[in-house]
Amino acid sequence: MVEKVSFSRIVFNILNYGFMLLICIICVAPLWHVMMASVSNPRELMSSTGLLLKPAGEITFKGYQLVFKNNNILTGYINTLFYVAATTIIGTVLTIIAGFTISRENMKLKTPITIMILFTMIFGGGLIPTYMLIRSLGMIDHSIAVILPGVINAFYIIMMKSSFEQLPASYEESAKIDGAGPLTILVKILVPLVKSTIAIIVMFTIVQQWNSWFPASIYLTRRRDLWPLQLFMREILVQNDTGKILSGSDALSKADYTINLVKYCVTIVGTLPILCIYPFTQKHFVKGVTLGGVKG
Amino acid sequence: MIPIPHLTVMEESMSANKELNKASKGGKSSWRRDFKMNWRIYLLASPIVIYFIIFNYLPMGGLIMAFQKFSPVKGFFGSEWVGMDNFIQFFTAPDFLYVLRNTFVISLLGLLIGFPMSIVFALLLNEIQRTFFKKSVQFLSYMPYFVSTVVICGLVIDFVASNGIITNLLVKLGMERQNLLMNPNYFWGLNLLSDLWQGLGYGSIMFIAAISSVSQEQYEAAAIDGAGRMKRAWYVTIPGIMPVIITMLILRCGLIMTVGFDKILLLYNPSIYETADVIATNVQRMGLVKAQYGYSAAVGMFNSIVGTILLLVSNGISRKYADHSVL
Amino acid sequence: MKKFLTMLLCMVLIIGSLSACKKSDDAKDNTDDSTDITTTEVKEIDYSEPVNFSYWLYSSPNDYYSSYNDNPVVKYLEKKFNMTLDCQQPAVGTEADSLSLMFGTGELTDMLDVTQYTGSISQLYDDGIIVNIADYLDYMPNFSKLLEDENYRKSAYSDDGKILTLGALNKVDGLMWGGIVYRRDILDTMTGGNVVFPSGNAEPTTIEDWDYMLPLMKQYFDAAKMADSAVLILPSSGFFATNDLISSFGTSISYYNANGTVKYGPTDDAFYSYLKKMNEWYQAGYIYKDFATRTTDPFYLPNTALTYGGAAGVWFGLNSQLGTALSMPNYGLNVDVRALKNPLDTASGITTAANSMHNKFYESPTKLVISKSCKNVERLLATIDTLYSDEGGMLRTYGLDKEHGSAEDELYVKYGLTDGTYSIAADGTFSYNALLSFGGGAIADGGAFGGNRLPGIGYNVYEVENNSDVNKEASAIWYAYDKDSTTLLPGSLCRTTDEDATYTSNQSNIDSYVGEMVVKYILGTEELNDTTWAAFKDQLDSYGLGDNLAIQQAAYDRYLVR
Repeated sequence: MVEKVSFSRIVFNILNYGFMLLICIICVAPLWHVMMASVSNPRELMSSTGLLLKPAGEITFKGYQLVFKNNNILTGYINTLFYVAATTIIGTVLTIIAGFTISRENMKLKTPITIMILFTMIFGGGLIPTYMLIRSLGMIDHSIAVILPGVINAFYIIMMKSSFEQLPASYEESAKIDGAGPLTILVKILVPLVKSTIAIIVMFTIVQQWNSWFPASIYLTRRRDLWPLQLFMREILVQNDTGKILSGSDALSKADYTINLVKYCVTIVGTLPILCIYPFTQKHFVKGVTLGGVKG
Repeated sequence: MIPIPHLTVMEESMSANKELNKASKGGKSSWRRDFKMNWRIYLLASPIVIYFIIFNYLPMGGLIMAFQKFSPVKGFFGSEWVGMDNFIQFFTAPDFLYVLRNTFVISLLGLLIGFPMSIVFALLLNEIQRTFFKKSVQFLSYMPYFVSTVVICGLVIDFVASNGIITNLLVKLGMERQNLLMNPNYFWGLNLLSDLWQGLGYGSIMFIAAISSVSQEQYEAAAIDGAGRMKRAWYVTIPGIMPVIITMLILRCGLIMTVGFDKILLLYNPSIYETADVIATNVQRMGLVKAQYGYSAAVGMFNSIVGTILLLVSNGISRKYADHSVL
Repeated sequence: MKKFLTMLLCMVLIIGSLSACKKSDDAKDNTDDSTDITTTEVKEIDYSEPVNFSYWLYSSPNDYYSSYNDNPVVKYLEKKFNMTLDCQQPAVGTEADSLSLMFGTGELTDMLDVTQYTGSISQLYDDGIIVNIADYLDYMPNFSKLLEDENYRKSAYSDDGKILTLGALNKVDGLMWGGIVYRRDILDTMTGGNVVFPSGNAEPTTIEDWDYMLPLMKQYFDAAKMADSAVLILPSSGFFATNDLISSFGTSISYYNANGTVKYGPTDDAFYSYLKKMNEWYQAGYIYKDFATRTTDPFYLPNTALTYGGAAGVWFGLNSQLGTALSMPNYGLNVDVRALKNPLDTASGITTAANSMHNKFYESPTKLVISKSCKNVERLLATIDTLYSDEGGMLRTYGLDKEHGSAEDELYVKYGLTDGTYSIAADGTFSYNALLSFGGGAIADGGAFGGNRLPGIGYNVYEVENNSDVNKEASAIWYAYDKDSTTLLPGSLCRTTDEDATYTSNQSNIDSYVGEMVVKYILGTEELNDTTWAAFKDQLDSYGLGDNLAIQQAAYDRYLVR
């Protein structure tokens, strides 16, 4: 399509590109800082202040060596991958079904079920009753305790529902006339139409599960072999802060400040893989709807 | 997994459909008819409903702790009932009013400024023609979301210290040199900005995806009508993503009492309590929750009730004026 | 929501302070068991049947093993006493949640470390969750012997004669791990090596001396044109939690004992003087201008950029920073850090100023309880009791020696410590294994080879003796005034359940208000004069300060007659 490019358009474009560039710089800064810190000379890192644009002192990978010396990191990666895969598959399937059912018109229980689901977003029973429930279900010390509670999220269901509701009724009508049941309609016709919403939910679920450590810390206390990466990482992050520094016995009393690097290295190790999934999800956004008009 | 009933029941479905049409025409409907017509939907919904009942509603029984002086040994049924005492203790705390105000202000700023910003960001990004640049911006802009809050807050504290980057910039613009986090007037703004820094890119993903779903045909039609890009954004894109915006807005209203608690805890200090202290940080600092399960349940319940009211109100307003609602 | 609540609970439990024990109102068994300990026959325990005990403890991961079940001392005790000790450790940082869940759901291990539990421990007893250890003293000869010490007896028993917690006791008073330090080299540079303090002493010892020292340091930093520098780093609260610099003016940060009368420091006139002085120093640029926003950030170690970067003059330092430890000769940074005596406000006639850091041997930093779910309390306590003997104390503190099977232990073998972590020569000289960092070797965390996460006695005699001269010297300076002044209220003060409810709810308001105003007064954002000071005190009264003073006084009086 040929367009006449007006002067105001050019100004707008320049400003817009400039603005986006600025956002990029601001947004890359913190991760860049952590990255530079993770390969800095630990002693000089301690005496530096503000944002690091380049590593303080000569580059060293001692921090990473320490991190990977720790067997837990590998265990954590494997467990996290398993939890992420399980939660994402179960969660997404259930979310699609839930969103689909409460987006049906002509159903008396539509609103009650929606309210019931929505309500869980705001109200919760608290830690102790939830723990007692999980315990009475016999899930303590089993990985299912990390997967099942919280696998469906009211927020995503509402997103899904609203996505289904935007689709014009015409697609379904023709299928119905062909005699297709609701599940066929859902799988064959509707799901491909809401691919971009699904892509988002998948991504959000992956990210959320990747960063999750609290349920594991509560339900898997005795099973270190089942801990996700983030819990091990948290341990490394918290551990060096309070106790040892207060007691003055450890980290700081040694001339070797390498331990100070570990937290930065751990942040990088735990963040980079998850950052990389975005480009894969991203391509689904663009292809979201290929069938033409969405708004009925 | 889930049974697939549709193959054998084609005929029934057809007739049920007709029946329902009849029923709604006559203005009468019955549960029996509804079930007959929708039973497969209900079947599909049942695992979901059961799931929520087990994992969300059963533990909610624990909310009765809010009316108890909960003692773990005595349990939910044996603990001493104290009526509204836990709530009264919360409402009569000396700081209750300003803490409530701060919670609302901080949340509302996020809702009224932070939320639209992510939409604007998505719209502006949509105006970028070069795919590679566009994708890179998207990718880079969501990075801070993954950097731990502790690191982000550490950097913010550095930047606004009396000789930090941001302070230096503002001093050049005529501000008196000072630590911005030690002046109560700046906290709301700083908190909002750091929220944006961390969440702008991530928060806009949903809108970016929604924009990509808007039909190309409509753009073309608008272009033929002679609409410029601005007009197309205004008349096609925004209406196209309106349902997503409204849905998100209503849900955010429900979560208004939940502010980024851990972040405030890392950023605030006694000299700015008057603007920075929110319900969660106050309760935490006052140490009142010291194993007082009842009190924390009461505070949580208060937050939930306010959240529910706001959600219902915003949903109602939206239904009336924007013809869209989540319920 | 759920996340929010749990987060809330988690933060609170971590940060909240340990509440003192409470005397139960229905004191049924108000007997004093302590009187006839020594006369009681020690009862024997049958160790022939294997038994299983569980122990919940705070995890402290180290480089040598991940679970405390693999701790060599635990393994040694298991073999010796024909038992298994199942050690359960939650992830670091989630201990408080794990603990409150245990108490909240009644699923308890036999023994629990409640050091950081913020609820009331006597409430746990009243609720029937934990046992009264005083009932089992017949099985604990070594522990009973320790109770003969007047100080320890007073701190172990509650007002109504119960012992609810076991602790880790030190044999002798420990050395300090930190205190206020200053950069001597700056003063030397600025005066050409001829520092003359107004007090006439070689070291700064009075507030007047500080008034002389701080401007010199400021001139030094101003001349060095550093990006960021601080003459004096105050903690973000505006005072040192250890009472340093506040006791200099003759008051305290909280309740203290003034010759038998309980007083509240922040309403003293001396506190006003403190705030005035700090405000004066802040305005003059001596106090770190960003102090209120720093030092609470856990990711960056508190102010390391200043202290390690050579940009701080006076701060709360660690043992490890003394001397030339912070120097970086490559960068021309040559520092001389020295311990600093708590200065005295001699102008107001103050002659002594103790801080609250000194670890008394009888005050245990850790607290353990035995739960009612324990099937064989007698046997568990009898086993633990061995750790209260001198021999057990050595085991706990230093680890295994040859006599105790260091050659057989897997971990010791793996790290080449078959000769044990320590040895005592025929003439009685104690020496660390040369492989440990204390002995000059590479194994940094020698504590991992001992059993210091178990209750018992810390036989720290050798540890103190063998410490470096620098540390000993610094310790002497840091608690120079400790022997003369006893302003601290004892840690084992007991409030009744009713008293505690009132006290806690008043105190949270008081603490929060004082915390806010102290910083504002120092910054000058809130004016400090006679009128505002009176209003400040009135506000505290309205929060129930009077009631709390009475409660503390009553509890202290009861403590005295224990």
